[in-house]
Amino acid sequence: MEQLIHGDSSETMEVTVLIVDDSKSYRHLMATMLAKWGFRVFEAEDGECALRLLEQQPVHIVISDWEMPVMDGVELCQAIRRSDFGHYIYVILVTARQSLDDLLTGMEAGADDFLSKPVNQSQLRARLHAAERVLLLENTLAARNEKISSAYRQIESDLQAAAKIQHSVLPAHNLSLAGFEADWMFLPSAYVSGDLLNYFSLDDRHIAFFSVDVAGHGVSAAMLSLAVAREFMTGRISSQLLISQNAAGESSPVAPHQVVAELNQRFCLDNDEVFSYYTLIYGVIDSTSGQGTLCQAGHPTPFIIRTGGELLAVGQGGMPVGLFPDAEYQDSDFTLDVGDRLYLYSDGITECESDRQELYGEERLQQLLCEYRALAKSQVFERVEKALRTWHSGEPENRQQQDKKQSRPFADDISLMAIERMGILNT
Amino acid sequence: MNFDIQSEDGIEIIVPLVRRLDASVAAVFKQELQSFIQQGKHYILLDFSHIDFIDSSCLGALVSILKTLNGRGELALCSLNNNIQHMFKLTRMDRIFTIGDDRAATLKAMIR
Repeated sequence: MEQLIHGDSSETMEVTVLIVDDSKSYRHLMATMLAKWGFRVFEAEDGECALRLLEQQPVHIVISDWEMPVMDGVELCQAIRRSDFGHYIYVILVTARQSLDDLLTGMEAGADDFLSKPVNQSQLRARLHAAERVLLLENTLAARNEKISSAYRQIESDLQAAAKIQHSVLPAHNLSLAGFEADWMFLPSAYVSGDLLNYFSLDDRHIAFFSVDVAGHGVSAAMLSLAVAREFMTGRISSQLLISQNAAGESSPVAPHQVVAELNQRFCLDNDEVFSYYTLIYGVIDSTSGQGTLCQAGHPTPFIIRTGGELLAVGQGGMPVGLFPDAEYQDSDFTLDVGDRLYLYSDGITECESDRQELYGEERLQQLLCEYRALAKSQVFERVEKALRTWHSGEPENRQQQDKKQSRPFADDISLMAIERMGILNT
Repeated sequence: MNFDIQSEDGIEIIVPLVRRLDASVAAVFKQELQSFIQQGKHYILLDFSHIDFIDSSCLGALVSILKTLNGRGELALCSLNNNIQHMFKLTRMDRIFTIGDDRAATLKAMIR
């Protein structure tokens, strides 16, 4: 029996051949011969019958006459190539035609091989062997493709799950704490992001916030960003990372520069090698006064936009975290009045490249946020995202693809957080 | 990754011939420079005249190379554009690396 080895496995299957010819006696002759050689044989009297049969039976090789009523061999060939039977069908056209033009017509229609009439037995045998070699190759390829696709699906679903976990670490949108409200925008360059941010209560009076950007992006960066986030989340409960107690048992927030220096110690794992590091802003706001302190560690400089449109940068630079264990950090003070917004962002925004290889830059972001200062924060983020996509793709908004996933992905993770002091404006 | 390499007064002048030093070249960039150090070439001047942009992963690579040198030589940079200068200042890396305006001045500063 003629058998094909199925894919990479040792599983074999019977090779089936469909003979298409309007002459019954010719079909019979061929069928007998092929059955004798071990093939499983089907017959059809024209192209249309052949197509119906192909839909029902798994056929590997079609040997079709060229001239037939209803649907000829060339049309059948075209129809087979247009359809998807889930596997490759090898087509041999049988014809008395010998001209180059005819040969080209047949090849363009998708024929794999030709046999001239009358069919010579040994030639037919050789052609069928060639067909089997191609089908075997095709089977192996299909099996490998399936393996790759299934691995890809697995990775994709893992990444989707990881993205969900990462999102669950982000604060609620428009989270209101002690008279302050924060909202954010988070756009990973792939499924998961090396950026992460949060905004939370330290005690009844103090609100803390951080924005982190791990060097690089992708899975390893995302894992480290979660490790940093965990330091902050556990830092406010168990250890003394964020809150310290004096001798009298009164607790108060640890100064941001001390927090960052401590994190730097914890993340400088090796003196000789840089595995990974991150840039960070950590800050604390006293909700009663609106006064705050933040420490900038390699992260872009945050700024405040006041209700009147005045812009104030807060920060004096500083080393990223995890590079040098003895790095020193400084605090910068600021005050938020009612309606003022403090913006923290990652360099994925300012380093976003246009189609003409120009960086978006700090100024454009500041101008945009200033211009939209009266809008709700969520609306501001929508505009920023639109502006960045337009910048990055080089196409006007209305011509951008509707599906964001199809547009050119950002090169780096993007995150932006706004913290606003709420209340009634005294005018 | 392509480099233009010259040697002058025992200093290797390495010019990376790429526009962006980003995550896609970080590993190769680091490896190539470390192989120079392994060959005993401990005085290196990186000329950034072709570089428009350096990202955090390549900055990390530079720090790694500096740590590999471990004080037994010098890693200097020159011809940084405004954006890159700003980034070095922001991250305080301008205090870690010797940075010069152009090649000639930086070479002079390295020989001392």
